[in-house]
Amino acid sequence: MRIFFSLAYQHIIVASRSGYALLAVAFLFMVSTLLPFGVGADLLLLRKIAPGLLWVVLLIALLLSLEHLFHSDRDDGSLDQIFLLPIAPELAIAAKILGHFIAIVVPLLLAIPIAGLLLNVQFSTLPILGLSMVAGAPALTLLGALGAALSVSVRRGALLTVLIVMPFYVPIVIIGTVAAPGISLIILASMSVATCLLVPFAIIAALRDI
Amino acid sequence: MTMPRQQNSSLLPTTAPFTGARAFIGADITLIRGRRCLCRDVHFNVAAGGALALYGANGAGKSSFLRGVAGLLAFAKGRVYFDSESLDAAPLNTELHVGVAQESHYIGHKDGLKNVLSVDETLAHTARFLGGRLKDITPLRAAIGLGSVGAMRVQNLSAGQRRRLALARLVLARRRLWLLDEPFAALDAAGREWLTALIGAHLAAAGMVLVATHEQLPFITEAINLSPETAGA
Repeated sequence: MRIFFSLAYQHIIVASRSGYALLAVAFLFMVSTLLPFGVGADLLLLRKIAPGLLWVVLLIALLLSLEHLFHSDRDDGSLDQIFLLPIAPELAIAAKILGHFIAIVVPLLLAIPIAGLLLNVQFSTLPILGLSMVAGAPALTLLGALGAALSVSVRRGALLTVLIVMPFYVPIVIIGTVAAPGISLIILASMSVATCLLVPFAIIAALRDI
Repeated sequence: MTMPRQQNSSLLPTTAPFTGARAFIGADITLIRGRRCLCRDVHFNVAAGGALALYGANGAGKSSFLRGVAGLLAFAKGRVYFDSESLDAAPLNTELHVGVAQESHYIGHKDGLKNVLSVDETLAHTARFLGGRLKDITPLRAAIGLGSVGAMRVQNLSAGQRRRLALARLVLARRRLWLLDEPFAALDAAGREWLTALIGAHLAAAGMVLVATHEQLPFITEAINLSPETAGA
């Protein structure tokens, strides 16, 4: 367990020193600032579509950050060492994803309310929207990690990661923006739990033999 | 098969010899990368305290062979296992590979170091990852020849210093089998001496070493020459 947490801790340190979180949050704000200009002067229209926009902005920021998850480890050789650790490689991968979640996804989630204001989201809907994003974010991260693992043997595989992962994000976005908050929260949370249990094994299968 | 070699006690803790495995054996190893068959039905048998050299021209597949032994690549055929008194009935197989991977250190060309961490942080983290705890970092840092650069970021190290730092895992956790891919690359004369002494002490303690190299090294007891053939379509 100590190995698990020290792996996650190292990932957080490396990510924060490299400024990945800052870049992701800055990206989130930039896009949220730009979108209202694209929509035009119709504030009511913006308010109507803002939750959907916010979801899309969040998952694009998340997708862009995925390259830091395995690609840099592949490049410097530390991905190999994962298989030589005294813990199961699935656990080591889970630790890395946990580190990524804390270092990059949590700052993104914290930035969401402010980005929501930029997009003129109704105050009353903000808590529910935020909650469903919190419930769905682990699933987004884990599915994204799987895509990153699948594209890790490809140089400059970031775009490939996006192409692999996008279809899997469709149901999460649909459920996340649905009007019945209670049910959608439950579904998103259960998706997060399910991916949490399954994805590490899939990732190890993808990372072996590259 | 013991190697007479004086142990440099200032660098290495005196440790009890490894027990339980008579030899590390590779059987029927066939390795195919791309369309090329890098080796076919290779056998090797490294006795405890022995060192096997992998020779071969550039591109002959030395690195791939080592990665295969470490379990990072799948062999097309064959397996590697420790021949031990207790495991005679059920030798470890390559699909699971846990036994070999967790009993071995693999030091490849890519050093697995994080540029944004300092030398001290790297050593402390690596020690924790390998299941140990580093009580006092200074003697270790001195032993690997990085005594004065503890606070320096890894990205500012020279190639030789990086190699020394990567090789530190050999000292940080005691493991039976060392898989070294051209370990002497980029090392200076003092570094070569240090690594040679380190390997000598490991062999003296009944450890085993597989080393991919182009050199004739004093501790080598066996050798394989890899000369790839083109696989049939």
